[in-house]
Amino acid sequence: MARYHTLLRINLDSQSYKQEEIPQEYEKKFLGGKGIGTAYLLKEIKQGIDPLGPLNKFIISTAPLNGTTAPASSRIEIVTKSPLTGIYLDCNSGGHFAEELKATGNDVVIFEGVSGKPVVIYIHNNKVSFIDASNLWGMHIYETENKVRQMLGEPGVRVMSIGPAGENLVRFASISNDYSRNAARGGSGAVLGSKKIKAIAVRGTRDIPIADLKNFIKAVKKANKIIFDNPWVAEQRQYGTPRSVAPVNMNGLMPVNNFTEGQLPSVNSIDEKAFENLTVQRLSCGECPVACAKGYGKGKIELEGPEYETIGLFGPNLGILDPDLIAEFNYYCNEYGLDTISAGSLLGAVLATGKAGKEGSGKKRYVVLKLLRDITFRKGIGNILAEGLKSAGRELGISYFIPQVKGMGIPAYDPRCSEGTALVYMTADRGACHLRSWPLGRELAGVWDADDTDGRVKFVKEQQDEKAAEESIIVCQFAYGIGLLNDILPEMVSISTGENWTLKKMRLAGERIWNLSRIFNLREGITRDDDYLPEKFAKEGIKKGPLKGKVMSKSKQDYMLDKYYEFRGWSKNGAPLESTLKRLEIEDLI
Amino acid sequence: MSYLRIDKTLCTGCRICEAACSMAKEGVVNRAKSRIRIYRRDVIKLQYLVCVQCRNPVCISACPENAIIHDEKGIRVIYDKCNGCGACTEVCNRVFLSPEGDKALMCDQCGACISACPENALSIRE
Repeated sequence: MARYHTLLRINLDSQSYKQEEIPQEYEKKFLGGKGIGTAYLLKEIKQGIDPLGPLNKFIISTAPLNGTTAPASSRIEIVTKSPLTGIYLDCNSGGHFAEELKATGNDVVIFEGVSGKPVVIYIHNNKVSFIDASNLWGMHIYETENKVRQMLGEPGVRVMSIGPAGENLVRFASISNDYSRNAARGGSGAVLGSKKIKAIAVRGTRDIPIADLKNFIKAVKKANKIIFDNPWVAEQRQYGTPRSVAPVNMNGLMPVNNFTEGQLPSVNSIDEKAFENLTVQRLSCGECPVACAKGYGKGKIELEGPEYETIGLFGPNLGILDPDLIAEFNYYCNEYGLDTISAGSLLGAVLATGKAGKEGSGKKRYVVLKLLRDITFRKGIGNILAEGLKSAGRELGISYFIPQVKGMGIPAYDPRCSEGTALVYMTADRGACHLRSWPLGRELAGVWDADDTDGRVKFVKEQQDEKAAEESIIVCQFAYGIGLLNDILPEMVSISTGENWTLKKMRLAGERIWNLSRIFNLREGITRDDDYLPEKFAKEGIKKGPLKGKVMSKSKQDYMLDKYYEFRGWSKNGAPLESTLKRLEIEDLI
Repeated sequence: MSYLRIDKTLCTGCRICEAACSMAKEGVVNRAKSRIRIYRRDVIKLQYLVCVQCRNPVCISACPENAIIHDEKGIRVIYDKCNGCGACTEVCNRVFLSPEGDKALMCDQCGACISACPENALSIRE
């Protein structure tokens, strides 16, 4: 229960589909969402295939709590091989797509092969239609979603689509659903583009099976109380993620001018109050009582956001402090279908090194908008940038200045700020990612002694496991906190599924998932050498603010990796040991 | 006449009301069986649909089975008579057809959604 145990396999070559039963072992060992998606990825993707070729697969995975009435439970997981990094990729997005897909009666959908021509896939319960999308190819995302809705004539339909960036195989192209909720990182949009899928529309009218509805309602009540008793949530509800702008700047870890300075004299013009004043409509993902999304609308520039990462990377990182301008950049990224984090971190390096060419001396608004357009349509330098951060660094001779780990752009927190943050980026399964663990708050609060590196490393390992489980359930960290903070999640999952979940079992599932993704990455050629920050962060100190002069030395990174691998039960080279796989009972799946 | 009012300045489109409605009226979690619908109409635009007990109930005259009546309890569907033909949904977008196509779904102001709404956006008004 709370599962249909059903996988929908859609073959684009033959325009056919079939339903399969999901092995019970997957549900038991990997929960759902990220976990089950990762298990399928490892099993079905052959080593070394081209992420933009016919052999890559695009996996959409729901989880036990999707579609139920559990608070903040409408996030959807996408798992595929990344065209940006060439390794494991999972990304997730809020909105309402997850609960709609779940109600079609399919827990997981796998897309394989390549369509001969542009196509919209419409999943209506157990029926799949392949609709010619030649007339939609080339459209921006908002128009695409409106046209698909119009075409299907069903107001409850939810649409996930790509823009021209995905069509043009930009390696950091995003996917959008509900107009401006993005599963953005790692180029999943380009994977859809390579398969000629313009959009995936879903409409589900099946009952969500809940094993014990009466007790589930009670558990949901309890969850709501836990969420609203948390004072952190109240602020998130009021301000959303822009609330991070001021403290990040105050603590000196703001990416300023391509991760050089760490702090600006003032960020008042782009802080939470500034964006609150620009909010025209509060919005919410499905079943979410927090409703942290801020609808921005000035003329055609409409979006949910901007969120903190976009503010940091298109704001201070590019030397911009105009909130409307940041919203405009965000809008174009949304419309073209570009990841704002990778785009912002890449453009930061391009502008700081003067590689934007003649236009580089023009007005910044013009320069940035032109670069975004040129990346999307692969014109001039844009064609080089569209190949991703690592490749563009090599081509332009600016690798040293590109903020990336494993090819993924670094989010809007300078990794020199803390050992924990550095390790989070270094070891995240999909390359530099801030969502796998969040030790920084505890580091700033002095939870660990200054010399207690081991404490931080252990925390990162454990929270990565918990976060992998949280993304397999799938709920939003803005409601429940990062990781598994209390018993309410296993309680809700157990009552809704009729299975017996505990925090301990969930942590174990998370650890299994983390090992599966590592094995996928090792198979694709990742080694210990890929688990470091770029050289710049080890050599150059932050130039301004309270962290002035701070570096993340190579020796410190070395020490942390040694410890991290040890805590994980991995070899010195970062490979899971046989004994670890055995302990986790996944040796047969490798 | 009492009706369910949605305060558009407070609603965020979370659709918790839809699930609450389906649980109260059908005993299941199924937003497609809800009598209240919050649709996304554009990037930041919502559409709020529920029967508002209007002065010109075209649904009544549209129903070939006389299954929608207007009495002291208000405008309502008599489920014994409704065969799910959908004629009412053709003339008004505030009444919905069940996914099985067997009946029209119309708000009867039971109020189950009101306490579920985290934004206090719902109320019964006269």
